[in-house]
Amino acid sequence: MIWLWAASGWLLAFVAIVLCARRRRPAVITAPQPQEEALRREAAALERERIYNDLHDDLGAKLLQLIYEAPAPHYADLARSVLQDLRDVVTRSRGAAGSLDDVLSDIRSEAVQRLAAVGTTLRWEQPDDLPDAPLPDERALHLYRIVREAITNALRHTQARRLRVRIRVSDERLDFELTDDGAAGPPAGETGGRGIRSMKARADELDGAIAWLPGTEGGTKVLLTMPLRR
Amino acid sequence: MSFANALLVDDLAHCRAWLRDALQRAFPGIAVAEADTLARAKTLLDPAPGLALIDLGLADGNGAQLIETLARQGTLCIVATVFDDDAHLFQALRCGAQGYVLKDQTPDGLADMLRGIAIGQPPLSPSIARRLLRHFGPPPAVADDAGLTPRETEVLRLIAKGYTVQEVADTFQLSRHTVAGYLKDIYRKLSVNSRAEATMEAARRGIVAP
Repeated sequence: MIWLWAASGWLLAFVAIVLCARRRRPAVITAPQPQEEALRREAAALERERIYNDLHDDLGAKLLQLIYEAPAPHYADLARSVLQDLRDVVTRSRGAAGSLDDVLSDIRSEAVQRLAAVGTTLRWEQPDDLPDAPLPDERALHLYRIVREAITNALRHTQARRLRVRIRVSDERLDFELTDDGAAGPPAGETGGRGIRSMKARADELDGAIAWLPGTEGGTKVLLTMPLRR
Repeated sequence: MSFANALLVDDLAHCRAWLRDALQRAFPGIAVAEADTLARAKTLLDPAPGLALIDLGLADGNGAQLIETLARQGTLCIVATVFDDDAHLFQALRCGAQGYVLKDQTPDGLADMLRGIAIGQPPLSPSIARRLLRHFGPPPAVADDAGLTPRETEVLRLIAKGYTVQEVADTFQLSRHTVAGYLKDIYRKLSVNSRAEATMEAARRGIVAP
């Protein structure tokens, strides 16, 4: 069964790269004409639609089967998080670039549902006056993945019963803090190590930083800081 | 609230088994008729089922047309989907579906969602809430049954920010039941809105006498 996780992981990574690469501007000496830009965007959108339909039908169905036939709850949770990765790649990238607010709302909603399924509560602290910063899809994807992995670790390694998210924005920088009340210390073991490396790599991609600290009331605090570009 | 019979439409056997199980947990004793295609489903519409659970990605077409037919007969239509911000889901809601369930939920989670929708407490994801806000636009200056009331718009804004129904209730000091009622009204306005638009559009094109 492990090979199947690895295969889906590689396939999703490949698709994510293809979808993101299509949006990167080629190096040109003169700025592209608005018409060319529009045509390029439309071609990319059609390509995404085609990939979406393939993935929606095929991968979605297979992941559901893994969830339905999971021999234990943590297998089902892992398959669900793969499905969530799939959702990020195909559905979120289909709409217009979201705002920071939209992305945080989706993260919050996903976290609430995921934690409710295992009986863990979530406290979400976010300022009311969040700046209306756009967040490009590639950056949003990294943020989703980092938070998802952090929650996976909190649930799997520490069996946390309570999670708290604290968001602060200042001077065009976002601070995203996730604290659990479980057993203290960073996750051990092979999968913990790979997850941590992946989170660090993504934080790098965001030109940000990530750190693991002991929580002030016990447990572990994951602190991600990243610049917000206007 | 319970139902005597249900129609289940999904092209994948393991999905049907999962959804059938959820239906039986939500409404013990319910009789479930199953179809794996739109064509087969159309043969199971008489007598009208009390409830229909429909997957949109069927091999022989989009489930939305089936929803429209069933909703007109008074069947409670619920969409089963993997993606909750899918454009197709929004279209199904416009055709009269009164809620949706996510197929990757646990069986008990699914049963809760089904029971919730049956008692008029449909779920609403932030992305669907954002679509609804874009669709309805700001509340009209003069109260108008087709548009959202200011309170409904406020509720939708909070849902769009990721608040749960309970959190919205706490913010406005209302009961969870009342907030759920607002969501149900919003869904109803969406499909009424859409039927009215469709009728007006048809009249404009001279297809139907206004």
